[in-house]
Formats: sequence, C-alpha cells, structure tokens
Amino acid sequence: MTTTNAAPAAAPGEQARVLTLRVNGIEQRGIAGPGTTLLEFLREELGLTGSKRGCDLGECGCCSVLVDGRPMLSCLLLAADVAGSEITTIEGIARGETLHPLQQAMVDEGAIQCGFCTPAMVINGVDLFNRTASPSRDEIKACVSATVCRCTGYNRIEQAFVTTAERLSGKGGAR
Amino acid sequence: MSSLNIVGRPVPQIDSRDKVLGRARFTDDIRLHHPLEVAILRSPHASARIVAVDTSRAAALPGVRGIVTGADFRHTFGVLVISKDEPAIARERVRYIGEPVAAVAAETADLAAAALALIEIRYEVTDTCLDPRAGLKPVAEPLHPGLGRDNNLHKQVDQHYGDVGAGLAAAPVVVEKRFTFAPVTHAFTEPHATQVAVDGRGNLTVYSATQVPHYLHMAMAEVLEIPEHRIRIIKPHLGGGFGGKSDPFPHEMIAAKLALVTGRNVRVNFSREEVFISNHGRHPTTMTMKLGYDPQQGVTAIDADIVIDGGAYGSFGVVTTYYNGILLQGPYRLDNLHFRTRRVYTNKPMCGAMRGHGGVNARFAAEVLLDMALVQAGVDPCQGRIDMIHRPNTLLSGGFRITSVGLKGGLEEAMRRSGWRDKYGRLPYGKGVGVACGFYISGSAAHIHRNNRPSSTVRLTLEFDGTVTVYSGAADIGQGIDTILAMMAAEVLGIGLDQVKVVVADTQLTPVDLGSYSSRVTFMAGNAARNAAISMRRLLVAAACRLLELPEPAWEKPEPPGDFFRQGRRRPDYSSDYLGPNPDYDSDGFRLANGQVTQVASGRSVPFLEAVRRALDEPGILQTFGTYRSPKLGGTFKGAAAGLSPSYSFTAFIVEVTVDPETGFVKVDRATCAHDCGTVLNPLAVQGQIEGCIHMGLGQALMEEVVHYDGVVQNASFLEYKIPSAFEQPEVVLVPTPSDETEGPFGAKEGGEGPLAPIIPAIANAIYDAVGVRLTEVPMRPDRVLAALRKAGAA
Amino acid sequence: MTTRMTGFDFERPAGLPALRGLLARLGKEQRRFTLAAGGTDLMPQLKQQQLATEVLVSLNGVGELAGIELASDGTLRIGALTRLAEVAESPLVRERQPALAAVAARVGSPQIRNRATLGGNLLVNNRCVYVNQSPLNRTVHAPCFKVDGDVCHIVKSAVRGKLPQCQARFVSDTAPVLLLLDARLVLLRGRGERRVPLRRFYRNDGMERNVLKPGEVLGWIEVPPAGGLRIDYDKLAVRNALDFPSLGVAVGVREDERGEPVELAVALTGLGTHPLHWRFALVGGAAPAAVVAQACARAEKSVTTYQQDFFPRDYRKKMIGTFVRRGLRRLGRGAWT
Repeated sequence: MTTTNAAPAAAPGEQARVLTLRVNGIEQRGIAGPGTTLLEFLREELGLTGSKRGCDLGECGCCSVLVDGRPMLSCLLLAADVAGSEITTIEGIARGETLHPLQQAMVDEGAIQCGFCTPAMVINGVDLFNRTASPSRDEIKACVSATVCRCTGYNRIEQAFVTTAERLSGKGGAR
Repeated sequence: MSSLNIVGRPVPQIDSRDKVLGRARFTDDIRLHHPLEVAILRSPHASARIVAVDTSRAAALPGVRGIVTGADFRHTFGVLVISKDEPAIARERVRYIGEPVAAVAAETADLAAAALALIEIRYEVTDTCLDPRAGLKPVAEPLHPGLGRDNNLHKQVDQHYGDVGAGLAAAPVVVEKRFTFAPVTHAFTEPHATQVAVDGRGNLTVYSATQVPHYLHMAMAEVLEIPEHRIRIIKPHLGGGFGGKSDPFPHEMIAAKLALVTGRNVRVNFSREEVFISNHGRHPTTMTMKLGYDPQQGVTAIDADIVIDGGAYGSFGVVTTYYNGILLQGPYRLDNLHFRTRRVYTNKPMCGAMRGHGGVNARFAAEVLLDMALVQAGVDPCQGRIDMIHRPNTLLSGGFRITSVGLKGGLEEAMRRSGWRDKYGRLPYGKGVGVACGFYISGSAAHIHRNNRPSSTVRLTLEFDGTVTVYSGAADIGQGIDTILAMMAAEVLGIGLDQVKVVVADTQLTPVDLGSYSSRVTFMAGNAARNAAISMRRLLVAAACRLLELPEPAWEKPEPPGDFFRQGRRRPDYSSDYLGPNPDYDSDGFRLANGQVTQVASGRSVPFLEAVRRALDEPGILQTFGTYRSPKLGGTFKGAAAGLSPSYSFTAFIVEVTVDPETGFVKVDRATCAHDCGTVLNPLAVQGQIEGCIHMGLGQALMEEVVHYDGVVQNASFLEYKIPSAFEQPEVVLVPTPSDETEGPFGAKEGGEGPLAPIIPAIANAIYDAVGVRLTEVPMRPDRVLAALRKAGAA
Repeated sequence: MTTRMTGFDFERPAGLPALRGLLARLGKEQRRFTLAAGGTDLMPQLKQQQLATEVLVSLNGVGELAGIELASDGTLRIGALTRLAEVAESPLVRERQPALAAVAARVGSPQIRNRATLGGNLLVNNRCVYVNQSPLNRTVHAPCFKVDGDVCHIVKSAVRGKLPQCQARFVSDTAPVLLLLDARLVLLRGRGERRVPLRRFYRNDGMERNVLKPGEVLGWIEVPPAGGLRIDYDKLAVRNALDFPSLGVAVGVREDERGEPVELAVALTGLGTHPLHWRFALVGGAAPAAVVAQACARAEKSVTTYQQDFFPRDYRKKMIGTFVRRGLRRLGRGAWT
C-alpha cells in the first residue's frame, strides 16, 4: 500500500465556479464544473439525495427531476445548462407533511419495495397528474415504464396511479 | 388462538413514507465527514499473470491519499467456508475482465480516476477458458490450481435416490431433451456502494449495500486481519439485492483497507457497468434431462446431467451445484432421481445466488418435459400435476421433510379462475395457456458456518411509554422484513405498529441474523421476533398478575433441539429463551388488547401502561430475546444438508400468452398464481413479491441475457441488458392458497423466491399450447420462436 | 465509480446572434467544439469517452430554433431544438402530420422525449456494440475507427477514410418518417443558410454520417404538406420502452384526390449506416400486391446488416417484409399483403 500527503491539485481542465439554481422554489448555490451534471449538483452540492444515481447514463430513470414542470433525467443534464429553470426534486413534492396524492397512494397500495426507484416514479407521476386527472391505462403504463423498477413488477405501482386517479376524481375515496 | 389484529392485513412498509419522500438513506446517500473517493482499477484481461505493479506515479499525484494492490491482502474470502477463493485484489493472476487489480483513495473522484490512469501493471496474458465444456477437459493452467485438478472443474455433485434405471424402464412415457440457459443477472437498481468511517482508535464503521451484514463482518475481519470488534457493519436502506448483494465483495474489503491505511473516511460506489461485471448472477447452464411418466404413478424417474458455468470464483456455487439437482424432489412425488451437476470455473465474472437460487433452470427443464409427457399420455397438464403433488407431512427419499402443502387446492382454484378447462387446447392459433409448478425453501436449515448458534436472534426492549424496540440483524432489502418484525411484536403484544420501532442490520447494536438470502428472513427472523415478543408478553402478564394479585400462569419450558450436525448428540440447554417450535402465545388465559391486560376468564384487567411500569420500575430496563433454530432434519450422507429447510413453499402458475407467428414475439397476457406461503402475513408484501417474481421470471424467459464477447460483458447497461418494462408485465391474478403450516411465524412460509421458477416453464408450455413448438433455449427470444416455428413448418 | 465528465469548457449562447458569434470565435481559435441540444445522446458518449471535445456548446439558449410554425403553403417549420415531446403533443403536428407526431412519441423514454430534440434525433449518433461501451470494454477489443483506433471489428477489411469505413448503425426513429414526407433541413452557417433535402443528407458511413459541415448548425426541419400520403411507422424492439430500433420501418401509401393509391413508399432505420427509402408507383398496371412483394424484396436485398444487436441479423432482415406488410394492414391495405 502507499499513502501520501501532498496537497491536491485542481482537477484537470475544470473551471469550477459557483452556480445558483432554483431548486424546490428557492435559489440554491453550489460549486459546479462545466461537466457537472444536475444529478451530481443536487446530490453532492445541495445534499438532495432523493434523486438516485442508478446508471448515470439515462437508462434507468431513477434520477428523474422536474425541469420547468416536466420530468427529465438529471444525470444527462449539465447543471450549468439548466440555470434559470425551475427544478423540482422529490424533496419538493410534498406540502410539508402532506403527501402528494400519488405519494399517498404509493404508500397505501404497497407500491414501494426497496424504494430506490420510488422518487422517480413519483416525479414522473406528478407530471402525468399535472397534465391529466384521469390518465388512461396506456398513459399510466407509459409513465411507469419511464423508470426501471426491479422489485415490484410495476403492478402495484400502476395500481397506485389508478387509485390516485380515482381519489382525484372523487370516485375512490380514501381508504 | 384469538383473532389477529395486524397479521393478515395489508400493511404498507413502515419506512414507505421515508421512501416516497426521498428521505430514505441508501448507502451512497450517507454523508460522512470529508470522505476520500475510492476508484478501482480493473483488469482488461480475462486471464493473465500479473508480472509487475508500479503505483509510484499515481502515488505522486497530489491529492492521492492511499493506494492498495493485491500485495496488501493475504487472505482470500468467499461467502461459503468451502470456497474462499476470491482475493480482494488480484495478486498473482487475474481471472476475469473487470477483476480489481489496484485501488486508489483520493480527495476527489476526478483525482482518483486520474490516479488510476497512472498505475502501471504489466500482464502476461495466459490461456483463457470461456467455455465450461472445454474446462472439463485437461487444461494447461487451471484457474484454481489449489484444487489439485488438471481441469477447471470446481464442484461435482453426483447423487442417486431410488432406482432411476428401473423407474425409467417401467415408465410408459419417457421424454428427454437438452436445454440451454443464458446467464442472467440481478440488475437491482441501486449500484453497489460502501462507505467506511474510521475513528481515532482505528475502529471502522462500514455502511454497505449488503444482504449479509453478518457474513461481511466475519469476512472483513479475516481479510483485514483485525478483530471483529473493530468493525461495525451497518446496512442502510438497500436498493434491491435478489442475491446479488449476498456475498462479501472485494470493494468492501478495499474500502475498509483504504480507510485503515489512510485514517480517513472513504466512499466507493459502482458505475452500472461495474455492477454488471461484478455479476454473481444465475449460472449459464446446459442440461440434459430425461423424465419418465406413468399416468398411474406420476413421475417415475428423473435423470439429469447438468453443467453450470461458474465464472472465475466460487461464490455460492457449491450450493448452486446441489440445488440444481436436489430441488427436483418437489413439488411432485419422485422416488427415483439421479443427477450429476458439474460447476466449472471460467474466465468470466463469477456466478452465484440469484432469486430462486439453483432451482430455476432445472425446474424449467422438468416442467417442460413433464408437460410433454402429460400431452403424450393424454393427461390434462393441470390435473396431472395436481395428482402428483406432495401430501402434507411426508418425508422425501432425499431427506426433505415436507410439512404443509396447500398447492392442490390452490392449483384447482387457479384452474377455475383462469378458465383453464375452456382454454387449454381450445384457444385459436397464436393464443395459449400453460401451467407449471415449483417449490422452494424457507431458509436453509443448515448453517453455512458449522455451529449451533441460532439462525436468528432478536432482542426486544420495553420502554416506559409502553412502546417496544425490536433489534434484529436481519437485512431489509426491499422485501419488507423490518415491517414483518414490527408486525410480529405488535401482534403478540397487542399494540399498534406505531408503538414498535425497529433497529436493524447494525452489528454493533443488533443480534445476529444470518442475512437475507435463501428466503429465510420472514420464517427465521420472524419467528425470532415473535418469540422475543412472547417472552416480553409473559413479563407483562406476570406484572399484571402482581397488580391484580393473581398467580402467574405456568408457562412450559420445552427442551431445545439437539445438535444439528451431530445426530443424536444432545446439546446443553444453553437457551433459557427457547420456547419450542412456534409456541402459542395467548393460551395462558390473558389478552393484551385495547390498552388493557385482561384475564379473560374473570374479565379483570389493568391498563397496559400500568403493567409496563410495574414490570419496568424495579429493573429500570427490560429486554427479552427470541431465537429461531431449525429442527434437526435430513440424513447423514454427504451433501444431505443441502436444500434442507424447516418448511417449503409451493407455487403454481397458469399463464396465457399471445404468440405472434409472424415475428415470434411472445406477450404474456395474464398470469394466475397460486402460491402457498402458508399464512399471508402481509398481503401487500406477498403480492409485491409474487409480482416481482413474475417480472424477473418474465425477463429470463423472454429477453434477459448477459452477453460476453471474448470474456467481456458486452451489454453491461440497462439499455442493452433488457429487463421488462411496465408494458411487458402481464395482468396478475393471485388465488388464495392456504396451508396449515405449524412452524412458521403465525404459520407463514417464504414468498419471495419460489414464485420465480415456475413462471418460466409456464410460459414455455403456453407457447406450446399457442403454436405447437417446444422451446429449449432460454431466453425464448422472438427469433428463436420463429426459428422453431419454421422448423415445425408452420411459418 | 461515478462517471464524471471533465476536460471541456461550457458555453451557452443566448440567442442565434450570440451562437453565430461564438462559433465564429471558436473557429478562429481552432478549438474543437461540440454542439449539444437535448444532450440525451451526447452525454452518455462524453461520459464513456466515446468522444472528446474542448468546448461544449449548449444550444438550449437559442430560443429562435425552438417551436413549430405553419407556413402559408402548409409547410410545417419545426425548429431543430423543438423537444420530441412537444412534437408529439403539438396539435398542429398531430393534425397536419400525424405520423410525425406518432413517431416522436416512440423515441426513447418519456423523460428523454422531454429533453431530446427533433434535430437531435435526426443527428443521433450511429451505434455499434464495439463503440457504445465503457473505456474498459474498449480496451479489451482494440479501439476501432470510430473511437480513434485503427480497426473495424465488424468489417475487418475496412480502411480508414474509405467509405464505408464504419458500420455503426443508424438508429433515428424519426428519420424514416421525415424521409417519406420529403422533409428539408435548413442548415445555418455563418450568416447564411442552405436547404438540403433529408434524402440527400445522410452518407453511407457510421462516422462521416451526413453532409453537415463543421460549424454548420441544423436550424429547422421543414415538412411540406403530406399530399395524400399516409404513413405508418413501427419499430422492432425488445421492449415497448427505451429501446433504440433494432429495425424501424415506415410505410407510406399516397392516394390521389379520389382516394386511389398511386404510390407505395418504404423507409428503414436501424439497419445499416444510414436510412434507406424507396418509392414505387402504383399506377400503370402492376398489381399492388406484386409491388409490395417487389418493395420487400428490394429492401431486404439492399440493406447491409451485421451482428450488432440483440436480434440476430438474419432475423432483423427477415422482419423488414413482415413489418412492411403489417404497416400496410394498419393503413387499411391488408389486401395487398
């Protein structure tokens, strides 16, 4: 083994600088290099670890956040490229302790197993329910297919979406 | 037993609110003080000798704090005591592409990556063995010369039960086929991650995404050559395991070592590619199987010859080798069984345990052959199976003790619910139904490490406010064991789930549970938690009796079971907490409910909180323990312990498929599942486990396949390793499948793995019903379906 | 280990004039730059070091290039930066060019469509099992032409610079539909612009993929009125989510004012280095079924495919005809199949 104590060099080719992003309704500052992704910025600089790094290549969906209201993959966005946009992470979805109806339905329907994809499922679902209160079965499938879940087989998650739609339309009522 | 308050009701996981708010902390979400970032250099060669390692240039890079190489680790490790063959970092030779060859801890991730590029390793490339068949022949340089063989055979198991020759000779129908199974892998969403905090006394706190904190604890102490007390393993929230996190891993050893040598906190996390090339997935398998069938007797014999490709190291492979054969002993009566399984080392990432461990591929072969035999014999595939299912309370020739079996009723109900009789053989071309069954262990009765300790121990503490805390080493990997533990305590003590806290998977604070693998935790940790709660309940009843000036009930103190490994030798009564198998907890005439402790006969009661205070006032602290030990099981022959379980789950699937004869695409429309997991403790959890099994089985059946080119994993991504999306998942119908399980907690058996195996052959059998072809290569990709159709002259 | 991107500068010009100025400056300084729109295709390549750049220029501040307009002649003028989700959801596109709206909804995943642009999809990099890999993977097989190496693992006899030097396959879903619609691209360079029909845009190579010149920016995609052409697109993919097309087939039938079919058109993606398309007249005697058979045979014969995908090459080839016939059935022309 080798241990050393020399001072660290600046990372090669980095012009790291202070970046301000509007996240969950407030301006938040951190350090970002040109290649820093939004996901890294959220997790490492802002400590918002609810957005997950599942693949870092835009394939699993677990890093989904809302950018100006639409879900996007924060691992494929440069932090500097979304300056000026409104970013909403899973930490910004609930109103205080009141869960979003989809969050509540995910809990009630047992749609959560390991929970690693859960924030992304919620983020994508919030966008869906912002656009329509009564999504079709195919719209739900498309929304759920946006994120890889290896635990649930998606059935309970889809059920949570159906339950949310029922509750929003007043048909189901709370359990 | 009085009516149940919590058990049997749909209970969301107790941490689901944290998860849905994004607050649940997974390993990589933990923020240690100023950690060093660890990067691992990996071998670009499948097989090579390491001639020279020069880390001097990397070490000179400012900001690099520590570098470790193979020279820093003397001991190899492995989850099984019998195959501790994996180094933390390759030392003299590398055996697969991606094997760690050096690691760096640096102030930033970029610096760590830059340092890796400065490490110079000279390799001398050696002969590569990628094909297990080739590895069975003599090779110039075996992967593991220490085994003393001239080839790459790792483990051979050759076992006979009954008389296979006679069984086959007597059978009116004998079918035989060769099957191949591609490698598949767990593909959990959370990549491997470990963080290590080190204090001023050199004590390590290891946060790791592991299914087996206890095994990691032991292995790490051995590899790092420090006493166990200097290591504390904590499993934070874990993003899926499925067996893929059930071994101690090199990166865990590397991170801990780097923390020790730098005196700094460290952090390591994997790229998705690193997850794929670390693998530990299901063994690629080739299998020739012969099955005899007699409509009067059922399956008369199975003879199987199986080769499994183990990859570079042992992992759980010895167990896999046994399971491929011995798990053919159910779910049907089978007196004559012979199998030979050979596990072969190859220069690929190692294979290990994956959901349904060892039983999945052999189950496919058996169920497809059985289907062929039933069709040939003109017997209905469902009815034929029902007639052969094990009866409750039977001892199998291989030594398995079958306790409860509810499958017969379950499959009959599944037939009704799926409309089997109207559909089988009657659907239009391209549509079909198929059936298959399976069974699985509820934990292994025998320990990996030979000792007589309990399989699981739970500590329960009582607080002055009447709440309790469950301390358990069990690892919640998403299956919901934390919730089950809380349910056990709440049910027994007659309190609400909100009055139970769980402290789990922390080797400093929690008693040992062996880990989340082989479908053991609900059965074993659940029983331990239930027993701890029963002991606590007795203390509370005793306190209530003192308050009510009643005599204490006389509780029995049963004898603990004998030595597990040495038959007939009684062991000393070291467990004052042993309560007997599945003790009844409320036959003492008292009821704990609605905040009262009540003597049922007299109706006299005291408030629960008063009983709590009476019990606590004197000692100031109250804790109880509960354990689970398997009863003595099995024979004495070599390998007899493999597959022994205190209880087995049983599953049947009826699936409906649509096969597109133009493209070969198979769409599973509906899966009707009868899964006998005894008492359904938590319907939400059981449903989730079954649906998850369907997802994973569907993937293996139709699309999943790890592709190697020249030993390198060529589809190490979620884009190219195809796991089914929400669109591919079928509609799921679950039918009640009760059974009278007496030894599981509240009568529960496993539900997390058993349902995986039978879904795959059920799909194959449905394809046959739909278009008349038998697929023997898994995954049953569209091009293979189409090729089979062409060969059959139908396309 | 987290895959971090380092070693480049980031620029995000606000508006077209700023973009022009920046590109002029970068050209003068001779700095290697890469244009990024949605970045959903580019970021993984940067992370995996499949390409390197000195300056990453984000186009996301160039608002002029986003949006959908209807010209007086019925041509849809779609800014190259228009997100695929917007194309899919646009009432204008859905009404005027439903096949384009439909295919835009088939690309990638919902989150990708919210970010990825129509221009980006037309420029999506060609893919190959030997290229779209990690650095570790690429050291196992020698680096190939496309990643600055000197070999093609698919066609060993390939020579650098002699097209086709690279067999990385074309994977844009939208290109075949836009080809059949006779789309034109407006390419911006300096202060000028030029129009290139999409059918002349692509080249037969996985590296020199198209006629876009260095410094040229894809500005708009112009889609003329469909003129009686109805198009069906379907893709061969393992899953109905995320996957690139292993094969994508656009089938078009053009009808005259009386509803009589006059033309059959077929375009392919997912096979070969560039999209292929054919048109066949349906007037003048030949029975439509014969034309369809001829079209399928022609397509199957013309494409070059290699073992580069989840599906074996023979299977993908065989599926061309199947997909053409299925497309026709969805267009109500099942009688021809």
